[in-house]
Amino acid sequence: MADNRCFHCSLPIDGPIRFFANIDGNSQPMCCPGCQAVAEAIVAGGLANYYQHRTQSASQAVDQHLLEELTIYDRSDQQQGFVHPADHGYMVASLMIDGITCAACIWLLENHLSSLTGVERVSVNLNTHEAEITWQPNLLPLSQLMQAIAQIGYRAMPWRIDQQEARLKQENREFIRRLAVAGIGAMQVMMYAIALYSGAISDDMPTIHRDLIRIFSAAVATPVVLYSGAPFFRAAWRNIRLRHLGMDVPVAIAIGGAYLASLWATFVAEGEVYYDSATMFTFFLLTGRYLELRARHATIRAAKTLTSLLPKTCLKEVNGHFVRTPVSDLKPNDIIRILPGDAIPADGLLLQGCTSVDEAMLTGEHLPRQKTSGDTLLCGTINIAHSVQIRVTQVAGQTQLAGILRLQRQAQQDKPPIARLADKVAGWFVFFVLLVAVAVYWSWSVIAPDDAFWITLSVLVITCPCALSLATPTCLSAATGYLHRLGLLVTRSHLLEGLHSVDHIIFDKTGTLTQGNPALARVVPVNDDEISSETIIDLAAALEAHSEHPIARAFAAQDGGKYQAHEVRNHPGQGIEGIINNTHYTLGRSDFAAGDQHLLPPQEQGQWLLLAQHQRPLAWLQITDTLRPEAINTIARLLQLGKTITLLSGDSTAVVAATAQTLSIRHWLAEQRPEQKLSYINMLQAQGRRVMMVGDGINDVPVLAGADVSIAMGNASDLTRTSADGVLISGNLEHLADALCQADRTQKIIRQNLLWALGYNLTALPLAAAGMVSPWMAAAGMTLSSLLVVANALRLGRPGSSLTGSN
Amino acid sequence: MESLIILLPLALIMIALAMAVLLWAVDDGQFDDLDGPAHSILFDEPSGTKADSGQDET
Repeated sequence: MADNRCFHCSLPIDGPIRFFANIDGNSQPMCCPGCQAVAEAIVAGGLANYYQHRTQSASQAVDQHLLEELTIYDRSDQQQGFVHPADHGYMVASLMIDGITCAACIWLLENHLSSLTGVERVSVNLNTHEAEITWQPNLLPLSQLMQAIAQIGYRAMPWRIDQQEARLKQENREFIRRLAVAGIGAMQVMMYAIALYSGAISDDMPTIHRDLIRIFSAAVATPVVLYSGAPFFRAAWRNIRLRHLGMDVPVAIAIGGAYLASLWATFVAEGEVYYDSATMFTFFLLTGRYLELRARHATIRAAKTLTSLLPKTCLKEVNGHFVRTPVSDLKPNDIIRILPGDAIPADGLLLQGCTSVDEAMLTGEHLPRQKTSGDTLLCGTINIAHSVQIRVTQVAGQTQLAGILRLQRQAQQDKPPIARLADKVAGWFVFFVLLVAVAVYWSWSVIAPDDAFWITLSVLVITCPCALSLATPTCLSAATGYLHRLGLLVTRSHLLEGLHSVDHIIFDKTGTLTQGNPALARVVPVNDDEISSETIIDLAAALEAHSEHPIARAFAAQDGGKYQAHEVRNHPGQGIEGIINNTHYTLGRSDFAAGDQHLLPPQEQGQWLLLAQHQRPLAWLQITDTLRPEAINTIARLLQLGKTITLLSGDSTAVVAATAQTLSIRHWLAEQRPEQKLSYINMLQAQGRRVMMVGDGINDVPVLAGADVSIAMGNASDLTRTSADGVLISGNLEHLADALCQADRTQKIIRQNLLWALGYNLTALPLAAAGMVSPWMAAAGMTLSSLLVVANALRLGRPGSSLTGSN
Repeated sequence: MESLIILLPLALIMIALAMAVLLWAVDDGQFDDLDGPAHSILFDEPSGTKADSGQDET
């Protein structure tokens, strides 16, 4: 198999391989001189291990012109905000590193940078992609440091910590502190509890020793309850003020009740202590909450990278020269130059020349659009072919991209909430328990006023809804861990509960059901038997080997290297011409390839290119986007699960119809704009359907935000991932069906857990109310019911390794 | 059972120490990235001994 992929960045190589790099004694193919330079720099630095350890390929190497821009960061006024002085003449720079894909990147960056003279310490954060570099500015200017990063294929940008980021960091540390106090405290209290248990069982422990251990337990448990448990008490108080009995209320009652009852028992020296339950419970719940917090932080961070979709600077015309200026300074009517490969920073009109623009992120159209002077170029799209100048018409908040984002925020606000079973149950349960407690207190104060307070307390402790509050979170974290191993990352916690109730699934086409890359589908010779299909493909591939156009990628895999084309000329928007074996060939639109012969392609559907020899048509070549191999199977499985499936695409009717037919999807809608997609979903929701959206483009963003449950493909842009509830990192659609099954299983086990926990609490309640439960029985029952719930939840994690990460 | 009088406060001091160390580590930023360091130990090896390490991945 001719697998022409760059060894460094894994992108397919168009045409014959012209660049090689020597890695560990083997000559490896490279796509461009940039990657070649990077790979050689990596090997020369003795860091070739990177290629063994990496789990994802690197980003394609950066252009040379970026390096020159870095020198402005040597000026101290430009360093403000991200460079801080440290001790002994060192400075600390915070840089945002673009292009980090896996842990091997971090190793590469840290090793490469620490080997430079003047660099003292480098630490790169895999989650935030933030690098903190301590170095001596008089030995090494900052620009050279940033160049060194660019040399190994990454892009460094100043990282100015904003308030939001600082708050996230603060929140994260605060939570770990609480977790640490709870974990260590719970372990120690448990040690004391074992002594107390064995003393209670053998019944020969002197009271003085028992009381002493109790007092020490109280000392350890107090910070755990008051500090680590504080978030629960605060949330419960908020719930009560809002007159809403959520899960936090019983949690706070359980922790607070068990703690106060124990304190009472310790210092009044009657009754039993529950310090172990209170602290363990706090620790387990905090662990669950912490996992939720991390997922939430990951989404917030991803949302912030939206601004990185757009370039930070652009070339603006000032007095006849083009000067690099920040995009934030752009105003309407400014003239800017956009180099090929750059994202367009604002909406504008093309002034002169022509180019092709990749608008996939806005329209979902996978093939580039031709633009000639007078056409509108949209902010966020990518200029592919030529360097062009545009006159800015709309900036920042007025651009179409900003419009889509507004739509997304709106949709997110209007999103129907998914009812949480546990929250509903908890509300009623708490109400019921409080009612019973009041009744118990009232009746015992009539029967035996001395015992009334103590029995009421034991009712509250015994009905401690530990198992009830653990029932849902443990299931969710076990199932989430399982899904993560499948390659589906859950970014919002309601995803699993939502998946269960979904009955209508909507797919985007490009990039979701299809691969998103053009591929050669069919070759139809104009005159039969004249020339073989293989020869035609070889001829076309030889021509396209010289093209940067995305369509050329369709031929890269087919290139047998049989022919070599010379004097190749690109005609943007029309096609390509060149000379092969002294014969002149053209490939492209029919009017370009064959002159004014007005030929019609064999079929209306799809995109057809014509190959001609001296203006004489030879064959039609059809370019389509290929389906993902597992798509057909997945759709069949989803239909079998009883889900309705709709294909909703921005692509042309003919293409969408063909795709729908291949996949046997009965409902489809083509040429849909984001607003239309959103209103379609709202219409379904108004009919009472639960809608799941699977998509990948920025044009899907409002729809993803509006659907009950949404999943973005792994190769989607950051923005798209952010508006989705889950990200299918593996890119394997088959896992969607697995996830739906898993969600059903999860829901079943949550029900079992809730039933068991409620059953336990409701059986213990009358016994406690009658004053018949001895305290050690209550404690054992409480622990046992919690353990059972956790063990049941862990079944969801199978098959696989450890799940929740709690220690 | 005199030992209790010594052992109980000793345990208290030890967990206070453990908590102090953990809290210091949190403030030092050691918990800011929980994923990166887990992988980084795999890479810390002098170049030249690649022959016996490359097979670890399988």
